[in-house]
Amino acid sequence: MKTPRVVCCLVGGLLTLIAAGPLVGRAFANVSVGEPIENFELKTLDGQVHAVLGKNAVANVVVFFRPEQEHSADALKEMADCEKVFASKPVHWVAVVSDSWEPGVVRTFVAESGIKMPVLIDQGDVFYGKLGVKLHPTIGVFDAKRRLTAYEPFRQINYCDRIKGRIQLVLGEITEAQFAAIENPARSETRSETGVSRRHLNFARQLLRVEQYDKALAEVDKSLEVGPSADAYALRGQILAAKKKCPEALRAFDAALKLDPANADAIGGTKTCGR
Amino acid sequence: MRRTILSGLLLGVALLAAGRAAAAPLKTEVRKAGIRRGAAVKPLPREQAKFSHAPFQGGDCGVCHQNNDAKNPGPIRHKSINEQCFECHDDVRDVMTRKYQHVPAKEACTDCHNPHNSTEPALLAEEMVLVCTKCHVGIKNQVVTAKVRHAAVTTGKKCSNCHNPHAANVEKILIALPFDLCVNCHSKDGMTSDDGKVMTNYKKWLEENKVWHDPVKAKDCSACHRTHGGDNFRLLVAQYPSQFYAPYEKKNYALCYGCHNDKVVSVEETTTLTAFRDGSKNLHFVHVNRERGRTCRACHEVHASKQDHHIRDGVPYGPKGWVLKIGYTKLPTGGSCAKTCHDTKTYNNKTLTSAAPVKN
Repeated sequence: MKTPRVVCCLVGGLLTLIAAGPLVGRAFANVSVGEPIENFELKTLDGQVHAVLGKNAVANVVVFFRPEQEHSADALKEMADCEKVFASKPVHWVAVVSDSWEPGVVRTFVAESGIKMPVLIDQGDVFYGKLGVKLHPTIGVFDAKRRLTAYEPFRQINYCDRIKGRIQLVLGEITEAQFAAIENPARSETRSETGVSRRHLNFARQLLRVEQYDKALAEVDKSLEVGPSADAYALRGQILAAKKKCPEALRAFDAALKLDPANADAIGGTKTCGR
Repeated sequence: MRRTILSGLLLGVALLAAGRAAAAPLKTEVRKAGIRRGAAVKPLPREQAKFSHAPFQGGDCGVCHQNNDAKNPGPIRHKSINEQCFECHDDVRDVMTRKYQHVPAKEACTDCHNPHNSTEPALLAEEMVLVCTKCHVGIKNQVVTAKVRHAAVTTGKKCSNCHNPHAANVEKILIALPFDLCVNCHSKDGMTSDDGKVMTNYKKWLEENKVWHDPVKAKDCSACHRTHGGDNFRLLVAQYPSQFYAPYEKKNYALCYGCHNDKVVSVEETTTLTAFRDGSKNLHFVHVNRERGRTCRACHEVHASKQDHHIRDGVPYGPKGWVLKIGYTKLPTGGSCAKTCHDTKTYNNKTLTSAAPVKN
């Protein structure tokens, strides 16, 4: 009786997981993430022969691009910066372009981007066809075992961060959890409740310095309204002590010490008030 | 003579505008000379100001200045303006540790804020769009000249609807990745666009349709939409036909060809460029590359669909938007389209010969 229930729960959980997000498609049309590829040797723009994947590389980055295309221009410029970051690391970079483009056009396009990686010419689009490259620009990251670890089509925002993260992941420099933080960066608000509370507290400190005790007290209370803290109670005590109201000040110091027995301001304030 | 010069100027402006229609650039001119560095930060007359900084309002000049005397406050207490501000606003010091920092925020808070009082919230020296576009002149041009406007730029929190003007974890000091910002608003039923058309509730749409287009998956709405305003419908970054039928011209599909290979439509025979082929007969070419070409939208749903390859279930057709069913079925050897646009037809992409015609 229990087994079908467990199965139901597992199936239900799986369906919920599937329903929660988009379906994950294949990467390149013919190569999925995790699959190895055959290494190709292609002619470079300078007439040399160069392997797509490096012999001793831990991470291989293959940048597929198309000249005279805004996204490809942006991607190559970003990769020019990215290349520099990994200059001393076992990372092998190549850019691959279809032979249907005039070499002169490719040369000009590449020169404007600032990339230093070799540019390989795919004769007859054989390599493109083997992988099933449909989009430009697209970057494939491969590990030392020639397995595709990441497929990254162009994105306008945070592309370089993402590629760097993918490479670092293959190099073992970051964990999956750290990459997840790159993939989904935390929201960047300025105002937070704790921030507002700190502002009131800091302002109260300044008002105490210029001997505006009542205003200082009002600011501390605003801070305490947002959230009680040992620092706020200790400051409240200091202001009351400055106003020669030691019995009330001691109550505030006690409240601070209850939250943080080591609070130096509260300990010092208690002594000032003669306890 | 004057008329000739004027005509020339107008023609120049028109040509510039026409050029812009093809693709509004994302990277725009930033004029750093616009920074109000060293600009007067003196208080506005009290009757003009709507917002006041608490120490100034209370007459506690000594909180920031060396003298607690309104008649002679003297210089500020810290050498650096920002250090002075952070004495109270230390939460902003934490904000400024984020990866992408706005240069003026890093250098001087007073580049954008009046530390005494202002007519604007957050003690901005001027209205927000004016402050931002003093330097971001390229954005100003986009906003001012846009045929299609984006309300997010000029309503609510304006620029800071999407950007954190201090610092952020995302490029372009975006508060979050574009998708998370866009869907935050585009998740309501009945929202209308600049031209009065009802827009899709994308939260709902994406929940119901699980095959997401790559830029959507990548949370990168700005790959296709120019969020500050533009000349193409739906704020598209480049041209894309808005109707079901359009004569084929490569430049009309500039949006799609920003990533996709235009040969998919321009080559008549292929065995590699697309799986939508019957033998080697390229069916994209057959459908799109003609005088009365079917545009991408006829078969593909660009944001998300239920079927692979972003094939849509139905497409709005005709002036009243009646939904024409596509009736596509994927088959082991290719696919089939049921009778709607044409009689049921099957294609075979596994061999170089065409599929046997299906009788209907």
